[in-house]
Amino acid sequence: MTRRLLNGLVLVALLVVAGFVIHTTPTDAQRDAPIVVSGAIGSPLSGRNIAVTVHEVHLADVVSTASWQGETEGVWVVVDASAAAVETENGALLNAALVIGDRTFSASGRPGLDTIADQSLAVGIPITGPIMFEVPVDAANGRAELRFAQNGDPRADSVLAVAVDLSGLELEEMLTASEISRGGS
Amino acid sequence: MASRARDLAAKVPTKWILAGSAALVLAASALFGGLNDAPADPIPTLRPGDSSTGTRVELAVDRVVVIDGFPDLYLEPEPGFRYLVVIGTATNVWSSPVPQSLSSFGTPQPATVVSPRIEGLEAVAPEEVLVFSDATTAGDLQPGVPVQLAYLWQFPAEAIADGDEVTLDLWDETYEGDSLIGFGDRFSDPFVTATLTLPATDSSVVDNG
Amino acid sequence: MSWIRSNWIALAALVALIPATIGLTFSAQWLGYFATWPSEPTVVPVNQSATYDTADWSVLDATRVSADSQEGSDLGLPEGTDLVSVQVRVDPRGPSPYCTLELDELRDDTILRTWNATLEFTTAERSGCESDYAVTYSFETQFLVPSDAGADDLGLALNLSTTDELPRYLRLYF
Repeated sequence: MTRRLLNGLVLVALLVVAGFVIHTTPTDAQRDAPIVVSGAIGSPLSGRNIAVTVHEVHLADVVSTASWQGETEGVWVVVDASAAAVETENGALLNAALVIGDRTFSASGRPGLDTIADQSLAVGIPITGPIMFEVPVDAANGRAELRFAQNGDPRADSVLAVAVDLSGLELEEMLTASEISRGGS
Repeated sequence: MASRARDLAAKVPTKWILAGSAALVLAASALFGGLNDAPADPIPTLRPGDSSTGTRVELAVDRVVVIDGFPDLYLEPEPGFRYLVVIGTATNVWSSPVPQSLSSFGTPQPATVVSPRIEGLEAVAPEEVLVFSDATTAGDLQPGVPVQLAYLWQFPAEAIADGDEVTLDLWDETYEGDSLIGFGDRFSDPFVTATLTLPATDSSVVDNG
Repeated sequence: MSWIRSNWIALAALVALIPATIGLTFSAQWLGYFATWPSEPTVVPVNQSATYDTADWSVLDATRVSADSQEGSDLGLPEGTDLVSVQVRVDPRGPSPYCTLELDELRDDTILRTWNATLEFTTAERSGCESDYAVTYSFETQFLVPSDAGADDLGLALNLSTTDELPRYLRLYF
């Protein structure tokens, strides 16, 4: 009788432990989740292999650079930032995304080489210049988050996040984006 | 009572039970139309200017143009070939960017949206997709932002003349959930969801607004 | 106690098998990883040469030009950077191999940062290895680095590797 009771208790204990393990085991998404480093506009942010500082954010209807002019049915969000690699240059490209609500926007490639988005990053030598996003008119207000990573695969690597309040920005008719420069600290 | 039922059941030959169950299943299937394939809904035919809304992209085709090439953009077809250009307004109705051109890494796959029915066309996917206003290669469609795009395919020069009717297939795909390996969303193989027939305009110069 | 005595064979097998399983699993995962990128350095002190793959290698000369200097601004170096140029002599012992070159910043034996070679400011005839040469030749490889690279107690060394010899590579100090 005592033997049976003991077996029963051990069984219950094992079931409780098993239940606990099942509920606390990380899901695939949690295991692969990026490591997020957050900061504000103006603060230098640093991850495993990418370091970014966001300088300014503008809203515009039309954007022009040295060799391109772009129109959009939405609104341009133009971000001025500096980016560098931290430990190695292999595979280091600036991947930039803008998250507004439940929608994600990727950096526009229309400016070609006049944007620093998708350009190679150098270790310790920042590249400074504009990143352009096209967003719908109704999304260009309220809170948004800029996310920077060293390539398009966000899993288990650093993501640098900067909060931006788009509602405080004036919509410019035509914006001349800054030229790209390298170096400086 | 129970023991007599058991004895009776033991005496019924197995093949009677099997046949009986099969008959029951067939009879039940009659309730929902039988076991033959359901007749597929016919694919709708659109008129120029209509939108075709898919899972990720909504496209309204404006016009179709045939042209020798775009020398300013260094886009020239093979000798004996010309370009067929489908010009339309595409809008991303999904919540994340949708690629329209193949990246240098080969992933993610661009979403197939439209293709022309041309004799001997090698691939459904367009050779080039350009943003109409600045003639740059179309990268990602951004959620909620309509863009006028030009989709290009090469075709044998004599196959289409000015005024000939060209039939376009409009494509859709189904969202299948997260990637099993890697990351990102998965979509099924694209399928034709609508067609559209319109006359091709021969253009020696496409006016780039 | 008697339970242990009557099951001692199984227990002994466990004691042998558990570490063996862990060891095998780890090596299966990690050996392949380390074998395919430069992870075993052979250190070559300054002014010495080393045999590696089918050639002997040594550093002939090394210079570092700052963006602040006259030469640096003539070259157009970005602000806050230095251009490190390393001349390497190659004495082939067979057909000379092609090599991959990187610049490592080290604290003792730990690599902190690595730079890839640049061709942006090249003036020398040869900027890297030539494959299948039978005679002695030299090349000059260049790296654009921030001015603080290798500062204080940190050192810089040339990381030279060929695909046949991986994971072994040469760490040439200059």
